Amino acid sequence: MIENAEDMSTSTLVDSALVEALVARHRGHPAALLAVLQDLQEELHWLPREALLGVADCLEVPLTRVYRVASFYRALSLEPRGEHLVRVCTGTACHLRGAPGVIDALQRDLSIGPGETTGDMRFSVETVHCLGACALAPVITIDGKYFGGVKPGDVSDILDLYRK
Amino acid sequence: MLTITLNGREVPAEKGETIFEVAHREGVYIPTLCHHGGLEPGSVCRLCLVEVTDGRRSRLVTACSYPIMKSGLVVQTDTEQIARDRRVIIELLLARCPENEALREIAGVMGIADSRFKPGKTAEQCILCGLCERVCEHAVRVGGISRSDRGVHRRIGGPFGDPPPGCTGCAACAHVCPTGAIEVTVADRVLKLQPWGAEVEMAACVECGALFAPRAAIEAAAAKLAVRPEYVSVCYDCRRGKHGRDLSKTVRAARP
Amino acid sequence: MSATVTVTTLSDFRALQERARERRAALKHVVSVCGGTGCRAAGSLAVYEAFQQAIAAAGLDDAVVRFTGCHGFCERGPAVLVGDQEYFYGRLKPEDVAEVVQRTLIEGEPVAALLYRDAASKQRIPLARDVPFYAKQQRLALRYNGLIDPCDIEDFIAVGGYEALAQALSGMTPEQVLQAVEASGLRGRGGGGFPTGRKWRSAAEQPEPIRYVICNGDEGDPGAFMDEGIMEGNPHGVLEGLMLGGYAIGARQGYIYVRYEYPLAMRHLQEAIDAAREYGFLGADILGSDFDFDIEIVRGGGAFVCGESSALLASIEGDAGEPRPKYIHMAEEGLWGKPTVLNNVETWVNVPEIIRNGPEWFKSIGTEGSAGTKVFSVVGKVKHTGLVEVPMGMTIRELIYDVCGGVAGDRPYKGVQTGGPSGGVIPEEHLDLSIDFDSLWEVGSMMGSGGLIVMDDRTCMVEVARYFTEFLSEESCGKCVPCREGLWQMLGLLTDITQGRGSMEQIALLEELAEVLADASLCALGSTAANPVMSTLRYFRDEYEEHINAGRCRAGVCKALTTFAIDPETCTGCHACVKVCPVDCISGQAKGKHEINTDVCVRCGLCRDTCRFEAINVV
Repeated sequence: MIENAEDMSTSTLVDSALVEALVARHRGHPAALLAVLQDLQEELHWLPREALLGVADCLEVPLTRVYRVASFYRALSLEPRGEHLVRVCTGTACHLRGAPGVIDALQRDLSIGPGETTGDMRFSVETVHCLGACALAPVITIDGKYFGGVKPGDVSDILDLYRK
Repeated sequence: MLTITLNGREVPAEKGETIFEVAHREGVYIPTLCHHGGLEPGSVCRLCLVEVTDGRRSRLVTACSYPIMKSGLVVQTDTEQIARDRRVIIELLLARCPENEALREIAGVMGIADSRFKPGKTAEQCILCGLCERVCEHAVRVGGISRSDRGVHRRIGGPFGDPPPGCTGCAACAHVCPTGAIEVTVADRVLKLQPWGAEVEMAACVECGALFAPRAAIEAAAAKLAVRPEYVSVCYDCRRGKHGRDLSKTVRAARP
Repeated sequence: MSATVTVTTLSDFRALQERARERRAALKHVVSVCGGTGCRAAGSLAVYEAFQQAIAAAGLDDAVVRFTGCHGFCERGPAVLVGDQEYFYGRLKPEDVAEVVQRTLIEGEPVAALLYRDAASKQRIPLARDVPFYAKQQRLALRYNGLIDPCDIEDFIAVGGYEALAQALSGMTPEQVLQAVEASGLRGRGGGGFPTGRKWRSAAEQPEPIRYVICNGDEGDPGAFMDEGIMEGNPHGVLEGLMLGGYAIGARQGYIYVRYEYPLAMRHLQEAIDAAREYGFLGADILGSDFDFDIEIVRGGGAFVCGESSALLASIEGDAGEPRPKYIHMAEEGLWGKPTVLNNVETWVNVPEIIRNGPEWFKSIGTEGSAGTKVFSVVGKVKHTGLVEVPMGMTIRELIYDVCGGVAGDRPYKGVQTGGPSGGVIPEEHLDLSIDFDSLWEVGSMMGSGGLIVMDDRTCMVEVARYFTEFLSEESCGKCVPCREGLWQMLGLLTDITQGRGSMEQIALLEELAEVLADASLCALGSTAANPVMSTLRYFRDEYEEHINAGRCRAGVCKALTTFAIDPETCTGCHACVKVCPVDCISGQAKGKHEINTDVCVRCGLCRDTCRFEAINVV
C-alpha cells in the first residue's frame, strides 16, 4: 500500500510469489489475463509497471498484450491510487438526479476531480458508468460501500467517516 | 466457383474470397487506407465500404473482410451514399491529422479542400490504422507494437510508450504506414525509428563498410540459418559483385 | 442449512425436492427482507439483522427471515414482506422491527403506521399484492426474487427450481427442448430482440461438435439494473437456463460474463455454481443422463463495449474487448472459433419456465410479435423507481402512471428514454404506445435491455443527447474511424450548443455525422450511437433552436444558458432556498421577499428543486 507520495519516486517492488499464486488460481491460462490483473490490483490498489512485467513473465504472455489489456479496461489503474477510492456513479439516472453537483462538491472538499488523487494519497475520485443502484440516484461508493441519495451538502460528512 | 454481380457485371469468385480480392482481380478500384494484401484485414478505416444485396436485404459492408459464401450477391462499390460516407471519413481523418501530407493528397483527389470538423493536434500523423501492429505481429513475428487504451485516447506503440520490445530495426512498420507517420533515420551507425524511440545499432558490410542492416537483424538471421554473422554480413551490392570483388574467400571463410 | 446431498438420478432429485419442500413448508413464520444492492445501500442489512435478533428473542423456531434478491420496489427500500400473505413494509427501520415481529409475524396483524400509503387514494394498503406497484406486474423472470434465499439451493428447489432441468434430462431430447424454445416465441431480452430459438437452431445445426453457451451479464446501459436483480436474486435460475441451453444445442461448457461493477451478483452466482457442483447439477452425467456441463464466471473490466457480442468474446479470450466485423455469425464461429449461443440474463432465466409450463403458456402472455413479459428498470423523474416486470403490450402510460405512480413531484411529463445509449426519447404524444419490440422501433427508439428513464420539464433534451454522446465517446473502443473520430466531433458540437456557442450549421453537421456513423461503424455501439441525438432532434428540435437562437435552456440545466429568478408574487419568504444555496447568493429575510444575485449564482438549481411554491424559475 502506498503510504505517502515519496513512495512513488522509486520503483515498486511486487512480490513475485503473489503473482505466481494469482496465476495459479486461474490455472495459468493466458485467457485469464484480465482476471489475474484484477486480483493483483485488489492486493496492490493499482498496477505498477513491475506488476505488469511480473504477470507477463509468469503467465507467459507478451508484455505488449498485458499492457494493451491493462490500459483498455477502466477497472484497472496504471496510476497510483489513494487509500480510499471514491466512485461517483454517472449513469443516466444519477446524472439526471444530480451527480454533477456531487462531483463539484467533491472537488470543493478534496480539491481533486475525477481521475485524480489527493496529494496526501488519502483519496482518489473516479466516475463509473452505472453502479446498478439507479433507484437511489445519485449514488457513490467509498471502498465498495454504497451511499445513496447523496446531496452535495452530504459529501463532506460522508468523507469525514473516512478521515478519522 | 461462385458468381456474383459486381457493379453490374457478372464475375467469378472462390468461396471465402473477400469482395476486395475479387474487385482487385477484376480491376475495380476500392479505396482503402488500413488494408495490405499481405496481412489480415483491419476493417477500421471503413473506406472500402460497398453495398451488398443478398436477396431482398441490402447493407453496407467492408469489402476487405466480407467473405463471399454464395452466388447471387449483388455488389455496388460506389453509390452516392458510399461516396458521401468516404468523404466524411476523410474529413474526420483530416481533422485528426490536419497537416498530414498523405491525407491532404487523398482529400485533394476527392475534391475536399478543408475539413468541416474541429482540428486536433497539428503534429498528429497517425490514423490508428493498425498496419504497423499487424505487420510486426503477424509478418515479422516480433509483436513489439500494440494498440493501447481506447476511444480517442487510443495509441499505437510499445508498452508504456517505450520502444517496441524486440525491435530489430527491420522498418517494416515504416514501410506499410499509409500516412508516413513512422520515420526512419540512420546516423552514427544508429538506425532510429520514430515515434517509437527505437534505436538499433547498424552493422557494416564486411566488404565495403556500408551500414546496410541492423546488427540485431543480422544476428537474428544468422541464428535462424545457424551460421556465423559474417556469413550474412555482406551487403546486397557486394553480393552482386558490384565493386568487382571476389567474395568466395570471405563467404567460404564465414561458413560454419 | 441441511447437509449436502448429491443427486445422481432422477429419483435422487425427487427425494431432494420432497425434503426441500417439507423443510420450506415447515417454516410457518416467514419474513423476506430485500438484500438487493439498492436496498443494501439503503440499510437493509441492519434491518435483516434486527429481524434475526427479534425472532431469536421471541423464541420462534419455525420462523425464517430470508435476505433475498431485489423485490423491485427500490424507492421504498428497505423493502420487507412479512408472513405468507406478504404484508408489505417499505422504508423499514431497524428500530421498527421488534414491533413488526410481534404484531404482524406473531399476531398476524399489520402495523398501520408503517404500512404503505397510496398517494392517490390516501389509503393504507397492507398486502403487497394490492399495492399498485406490485398489483399490475406479472413476474416470470423475477419469479423467485423476494421468495427465496438466493444462496440456498434447496430453497430454489423447494419452489420449483431444477424441475425443468429434471424434466428435460429425463423425458425430452435436445431437439424437443430446442423446439419448445422455438415455439415459445421468446426473443432476446438484451436489446436485439432476435428470436432465441432461431439462434439456438443455427448453432445446433453446425458440423463442429464443440459448442458454447454464454450468458451476457454485462448490463452496461446506464440506468438499467434488471439483470443485476435477476443475477443477485435468482442465480440458480440463470444457471438452469444455461444448462437447458447447453443440453439443447450440445454444449458442454457455459460462461457467465458479469460486469465487475456487480460484486454481489458475482458472489451469488459463484456460490450457486459451487452448490450446483456439490449437489450434482453441474459436472458429469447430470441426473443420471449422459449430459456433462459446467459453468464458469468471467468478470468484466469496466468497458461498456464488452456488452457487444464479438467484444465479449474477445474479452473472454483474454484480450481487449474490441468488436470484430460480424459477417460470419457467432452461431457458426464464435468463442475460440466454435459455434456459440450468446443470450442475455433475462432471456436465459425465462427458459426453465418455458420448459416447465410449455411454450403455449409463454406465447399466451404478451403480444403477437413479442411473447412473454419484460423486466424494466424505471428510474429518473418518476415517483416509484425500481424494477417492474409486466406483460409485453402494456402501454407506456400504464407503466409510468399506474404502476410507477407518475412523474416525481407531479411535474409535467416530457418523455421517456428507452434503449440506453442506443435508444431514443419517446415524447408525450406516444404515451399510449404499446411497449413491445416493434412499436418502440417505429417511433425512433428501441426496447433495449429495459432501462426506462422518465424525464420531466426540468430535463434538457439537448443535454440528454450530449450526455449519451459523451458516454459513448468514452466507451468507444476506438478501433474504427467513424465511431472514434465521429463521436468525438459530435460531442464537441453538442457541448458547443449546450454552452452557448451553437449554430444552426452545427445541427446540419450533427445530422450528417449521424448518418455516417449509422452507415459506416464497425459495430452496433457506433452504428446506434447517434440515436439519442436523432431522436431528440426529431421530437425536441425547438429546444435545440432555442439554445442556439435565443441563448436559453428552458429546462434550466445548461448553466451558460440559464438564469434563475424568484417571482416576488409567488415567493412566500419561507427561506428554504437560502438554506440550500451553496454559494449564499440569495438575499432576503424570513417572510420577506427573496432575490437571487445572478452574478454569484452558479446555476446549480438546488433552490428551484427545494422551493415548494414554484416561485423560482428560468427567466
